[in-house]
Amino acid sequence: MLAELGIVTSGLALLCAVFGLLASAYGAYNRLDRWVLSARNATLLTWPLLTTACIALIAAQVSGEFNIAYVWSTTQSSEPLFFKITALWGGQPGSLMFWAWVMSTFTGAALLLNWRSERRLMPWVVTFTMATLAFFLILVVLYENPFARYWTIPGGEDVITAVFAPAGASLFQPSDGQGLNPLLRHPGMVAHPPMLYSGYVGMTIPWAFAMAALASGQLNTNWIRATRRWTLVAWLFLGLGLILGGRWAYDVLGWGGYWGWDPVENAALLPWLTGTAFLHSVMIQEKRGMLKVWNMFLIILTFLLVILGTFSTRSGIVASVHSFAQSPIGTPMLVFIAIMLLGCLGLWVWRWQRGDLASDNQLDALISRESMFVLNNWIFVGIAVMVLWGTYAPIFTELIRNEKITLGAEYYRAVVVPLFGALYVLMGVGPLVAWKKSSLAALGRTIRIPVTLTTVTLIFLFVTGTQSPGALFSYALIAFAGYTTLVEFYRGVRARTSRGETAITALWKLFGRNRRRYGGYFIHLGVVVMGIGTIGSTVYQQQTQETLNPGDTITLGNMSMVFKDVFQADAVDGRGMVVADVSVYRAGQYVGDVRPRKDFFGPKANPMTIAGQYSTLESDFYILLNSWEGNRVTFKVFLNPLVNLVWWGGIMLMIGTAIAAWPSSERDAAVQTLESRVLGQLQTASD
Amino acid sequence: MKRVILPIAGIATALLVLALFNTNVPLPGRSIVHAQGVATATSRPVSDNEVNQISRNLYCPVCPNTPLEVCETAACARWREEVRDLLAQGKTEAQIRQYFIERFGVRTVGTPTDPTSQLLNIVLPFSLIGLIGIGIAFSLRRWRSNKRSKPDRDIIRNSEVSPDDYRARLEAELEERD
Repeated sequence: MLAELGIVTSGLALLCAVFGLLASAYGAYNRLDRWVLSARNATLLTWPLLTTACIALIAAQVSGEFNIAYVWSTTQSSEPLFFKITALWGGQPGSLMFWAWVMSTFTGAALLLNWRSERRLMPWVVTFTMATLAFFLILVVLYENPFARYWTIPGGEDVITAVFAPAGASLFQPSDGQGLNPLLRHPGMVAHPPMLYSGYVGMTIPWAFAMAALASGQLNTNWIRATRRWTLVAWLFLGLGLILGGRWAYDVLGWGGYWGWDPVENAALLPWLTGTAFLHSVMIQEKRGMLKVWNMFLIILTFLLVILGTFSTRSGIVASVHSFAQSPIGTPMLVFIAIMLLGCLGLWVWRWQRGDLASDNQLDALISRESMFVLNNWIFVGIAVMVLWGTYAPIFTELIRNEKITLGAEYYRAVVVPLFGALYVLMGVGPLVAWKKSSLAALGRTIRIPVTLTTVTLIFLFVTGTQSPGALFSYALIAFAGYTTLVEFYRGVRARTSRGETAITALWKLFGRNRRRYGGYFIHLGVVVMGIGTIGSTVYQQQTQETLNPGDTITLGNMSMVFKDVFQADAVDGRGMVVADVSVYRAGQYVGDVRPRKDFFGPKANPMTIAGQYSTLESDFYILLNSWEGNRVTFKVFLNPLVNLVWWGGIMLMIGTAIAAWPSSERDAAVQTLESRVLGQLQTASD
Repeated sequence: MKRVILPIAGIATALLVLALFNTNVPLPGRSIVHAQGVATATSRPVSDNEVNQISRNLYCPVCPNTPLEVCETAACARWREEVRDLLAQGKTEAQIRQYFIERFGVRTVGTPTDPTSQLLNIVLPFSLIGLIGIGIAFSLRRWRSNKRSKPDRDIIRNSEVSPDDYRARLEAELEERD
């Protein structure tokens, strides 16, 4: 019954999406409101249909309907309820349906929130969002149906997997399922995929608005204004997904790090990079009416990278610890990417050639905020090119030289890290350069304070023992960016406190008055904190591997551990565990016990190494149980200084994004208008 | 002149990165001592840390993108023991890497080893970024020259607005509104 319900609702959702796509395009082209409204209704209908399909699948997972192949492959009777529910995105067919549901949710929300204000764009927005949704639903319904069931034919020995019953077949009911992939049984992995999907799907909304602007010819800044918040929300989810993925890798993969330049990690990073570039460059279009061609290109590129990332994860084209197995959806996805690439770029070039994307203004000076944003975009796109090349190097090199070359962390460290360094320099200089025109003399005056503070910090670091040239140089760049941001906050607060406000009130009002600017600066601070954590935890990471008897000790820096005991246990979910009891000491003082362990999920699966961690803001003492023989245990121990700043910086980044995306009140909107006017008057006055 | 300097600078940077990137990899002209066939040096005890130091920069030939140091498979455990044996025989890191390349191919080191592949994988993407940069530089110049030849009344010229002036004026107006 649940399978039938899922098959019918997902099939109807596909029909609605196809109808929405065709009716909206026809209605928009011929200016027929009835068709457009009908398309809108069909689009909105996809959400309850897909919600029902998802609920049906979850219900099947929870109730143990193992005759459904997907339920059998991702759940097990003994699993906790929580993992039975999250198994919805634990395999390819379910995750594709979940992807479609998220897409339908975002599209419905965009229609409801923007229908009145962006009436001219919305018919085409429906067309482009439904084109994407219809494609994913085709994959769900025709290629990877999560409701396919096991059947047996009387007299036949084989079990057949099919959506509909073959002639004379009866349902085959396995007694239990295989269970969720052990790697996915972690809280980080529970939240990581929905966040990433929301980020991916969220980016299709600004793309759809951009394409609607190109299709309809409404190429003023309306589409950017309408989608700024959508882009920020998508960027927030994508960033959160990346950070949660890093945390998952840190806790579960057992190698003491959080970013391994894995192809699937990179696939999620790519649209984040181009999305970040887009978020910066749209400011120039909003303020100056410039970079229209470039902004269109960036959002198209971001969308294509979203689809490429999804394709890479699911086609098996790049091998990764994360990716789903090779599956039949590779070819249709490749065809979809090709159609989108040609369609989007064709529309973009056509408008460009017609002169519809011409800038309203010209660049006033090479030293200006606009130039800084252009440089920022160059570096972000540069990093994206490098990461793209590194990720798909096996394919590129096989095509060019018939030799598959995989590029590892060494490549990324050499080519990407310097570019990130350049970004920190720009984060330090950019906010100090005025819009339209500045001069070296003016820049010199404003840059003095951050440079002085950076110099003092460097001297302090050197005196207190940081003597690695690489670390000092990196910290200099990061400190410079951080001090510039703090100085910007200080100036804003000072201006307000001079009117009698307290510093806290002034800071609060500063955020309230210009959420976008100060939310952005808060994001910069988050990136600075993450940078400090990254340098500390990579340059100064210490590690050792030793085999201990009970009572033996390992010491790293000011931390030490005493191995007490090792024992075996069985978890309620059927997992076998080998657990070590370890006491942790900090500067000779006992601070607590940790239990590093290995989890075993049956004879076929590799064991999982779960670290025992003693965490402070200063460092993470990270203990892995490597192997054991009787009472002798081999531990691998890491001391990761400042690693927790990476997570705290990530949280700051999220808070900053939420501040920037938070809707402004009408008064705030008036202030922003006033701001622009004041700026204009001041500039006119200086003529 | 700038047209010549920019690409040269781009290629020079790429070559510099290539040199930095490639410190562990044998370059043409540098002799490679093959691990197999070299006379065994005196065996010595090798610590886990020494094995990890080498295994960290090698990749499991079977599992995708997994460093040999952390791979959980039995095969990788055996290969780590081979690293230990080679170290006990007195082999250097470069020799051990070469040994793994010969046995399993270049994928075990996660970096191209022959000069053509190195050029392809480093210089090509850097050149692409350089080309984008040149495109941006030309666009900026064109914008500037258009600006000089065709002044737009909507554009406010000769403005060098001090952030302090701007803030003071903004705050004053805000105060009037409050």
